[in-house]
Amino acid sequence: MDCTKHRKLLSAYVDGECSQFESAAVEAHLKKCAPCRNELSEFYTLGSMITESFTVTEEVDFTSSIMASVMSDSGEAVVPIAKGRKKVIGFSSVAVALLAGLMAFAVMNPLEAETVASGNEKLERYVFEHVASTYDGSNEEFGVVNFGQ
Amino acid sequence: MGDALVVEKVIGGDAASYELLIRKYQSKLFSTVLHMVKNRELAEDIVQESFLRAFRKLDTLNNRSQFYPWIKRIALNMALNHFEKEKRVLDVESDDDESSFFENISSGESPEELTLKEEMKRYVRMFVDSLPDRLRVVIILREVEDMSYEEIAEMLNIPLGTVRSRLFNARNIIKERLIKQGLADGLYKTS
Ligand SMILES: [Zn+2]
Repeated sequence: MDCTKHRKLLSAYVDGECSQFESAAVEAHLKKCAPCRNELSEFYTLGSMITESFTVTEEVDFTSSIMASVMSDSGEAVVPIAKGRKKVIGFSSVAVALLAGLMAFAVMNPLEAETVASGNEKLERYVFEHVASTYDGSNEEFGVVNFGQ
Repeated sequence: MGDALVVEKVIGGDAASYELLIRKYQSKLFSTVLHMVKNRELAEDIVQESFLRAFRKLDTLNNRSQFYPWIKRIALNMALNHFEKEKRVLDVESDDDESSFFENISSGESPEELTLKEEMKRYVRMFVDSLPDRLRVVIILREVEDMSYEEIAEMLNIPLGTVRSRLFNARNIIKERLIKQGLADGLYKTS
């Protein structure tokens, strides 16, 4: 009996990946070969053990980080255009960087910040309300997170 | 709310609803990717990037109820790209790294208190994890991700016959290791 040949097929057979012809050959061999029937059982058992040994799910939470990227990516965050309050959908990362820089400047230099802030009061408020609220410090647009590729 | 509805909402402009999909699937996806790449940091990056990519391409998802299978595919492809960049392990048939298989197995503490089945699973997991990548990835896609040979062949860009022989080899290596570990009986008793 050609067990070697059939054992190779057994692995595909347990996966239901044999052709009709192959399946028939395997089944005919199994009928008369006890060692191969054992082998078949082993493959089935091994398969379910592999499946079970990998089914533990680990709880993780990247929600805020992913959503920060998603929201900035989606253009949900808005910036004012030169003339007014209308939304600009899909702002550029350059604009965000500028605004972020402006904010940092305003925070770090209270005196001068006042000047800047007064001249950009609306802009600043806008940034706080629409950009800062969706930004939790891990926004890809800010270059903080680099996924590579 | 079903996934299809959420997907519709997000495509319709309600990006905030995407959070529902992230909360629902991030842990499952992380585990899947971690099984493949065996590196937490990398798995984390891949999961985050997958959600972002999926968001950007969401309108190309034809069957809106199939969000998870779809993003899983995106993530698995990224995981595989990682291997391709690292080394070309997935399509090289050379058995050079076969020997390292045995070195990679940690002895671990004796799991006497475990039932035979638990002990078996523990060793099986360890033996799968220490297979050469080209065998390991195929057996995980088959047994854990429940993919067909055709799907695996397509994803790894290898012939069907190669999928078949790698699975056969992987299974035999794991079986041999179990036997050497004195656990051959478990292949019957646990079934
Ligand atoms: Zn036989």
